[in-house]
Amino acid sequence: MKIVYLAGLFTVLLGSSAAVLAEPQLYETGPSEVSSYVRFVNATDAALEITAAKGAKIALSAAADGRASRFFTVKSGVKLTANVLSNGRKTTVEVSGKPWEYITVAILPGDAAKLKTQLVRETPDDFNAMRASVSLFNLDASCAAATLQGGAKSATILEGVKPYTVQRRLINPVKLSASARCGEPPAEVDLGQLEAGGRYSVFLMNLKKTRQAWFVRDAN
Amino acid sequence: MSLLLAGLTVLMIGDSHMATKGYLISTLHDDLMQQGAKVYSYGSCGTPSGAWMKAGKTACGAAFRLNDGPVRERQGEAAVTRSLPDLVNEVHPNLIVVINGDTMAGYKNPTMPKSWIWGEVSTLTKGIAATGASCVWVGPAWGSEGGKYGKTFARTKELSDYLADIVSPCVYISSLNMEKPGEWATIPGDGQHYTYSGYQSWGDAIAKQIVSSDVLQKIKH
Repeated sequence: MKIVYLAGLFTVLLGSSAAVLAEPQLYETGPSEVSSYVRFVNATDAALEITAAKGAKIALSAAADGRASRFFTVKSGVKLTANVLSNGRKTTVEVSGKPWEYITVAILPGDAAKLKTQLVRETPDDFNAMRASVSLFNLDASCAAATLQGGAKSATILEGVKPYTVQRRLINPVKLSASARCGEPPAEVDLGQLEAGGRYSVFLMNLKKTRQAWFVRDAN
Repeated sequence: MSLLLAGLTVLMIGDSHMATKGYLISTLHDDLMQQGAKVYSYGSCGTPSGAWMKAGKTACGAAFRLNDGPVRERQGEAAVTRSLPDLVNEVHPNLIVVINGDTMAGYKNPTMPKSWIWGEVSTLTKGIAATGASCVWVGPAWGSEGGKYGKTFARTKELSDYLADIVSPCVYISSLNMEKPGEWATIPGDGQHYTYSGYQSWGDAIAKQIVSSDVLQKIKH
């Protein structure tokens, strides 16, 4: 009888609002480390090689589909050094990122003796799995305000993008042919069918006094 | 019994809310079975979404339950997570239910780590999309403010709103309309995990949402 009584009591307790359940061990409700993200972009007319302090190498070509690396995850606040080499010219770049910052290290033609680098920083918060994020990076120092237009009616997607800055906007995942403009003529770029959740970077740059645009789908 | 859920195989994966007997691995699992589904549940305490794409150890315990079997809890070295692709190959689910949110909220951080959450969530949603199964994603519930995890109503709302934007192709189920903030009792000093009655209420409300969800209309029987 006693066993039956205890079993009944247990059932009552489990079914009551006062039932006490086992408690999980304490755990962190977030990342174990605060990160930043760094990528390299070749905005010159020659292939180049980037060597990190620990010896890792990245090769970037001068063709549109090989100009950008993926974003590398790095520890936020830690200073990183990389050497850039192209056709006997070299330079060193130092990068330190704020929490969750995305840094694009643009390597520019510079002069006969040395390559030039420029950092473009952004901390995006427009992540969205149902739309596409399109950005315009203005890597042309002579263009005070770049514009990105696209679609059948050449609608303005982004405007007033200052040199070595980026603007970003969510748009519907459509097929997109765009023009990066800074006066005439525009630099055309075909992004093809955008994917929902996709993040795209359009780069406007000026090589030998000719403006050109290309794009990359951002990847971590 | 739900005509739309009956006969379907449901795979549920989730965080600490699914990793202890009496939590959603008991209440929601029972509810979905009562609606006629075959249910396979796996919980991994403290796990962010992306971790489900490969097998690994869990931070604070794991549990699983195979349809009408008992909840099996695992602690210490035995607490491991199986990968989603592995589970899908074994279970062949029509519907995947993800219970995940609190583990990524960063309740003790001044800003929510959006880019990190995006990376975790999209890693899992890409994996789910590759399986071809339908999917619903259940976001965090209000819980109570304070407690050892530092949960706040404001961050919970911010996270839930954010998850609604980023879990596609999964259909998002917000838990915030299921109770008033602080309505369901949480374990004293915890703030994030409910008492049994809380998990009963939460499980019932989620099951009701799943049964009425458009996602079930699209699954071929």
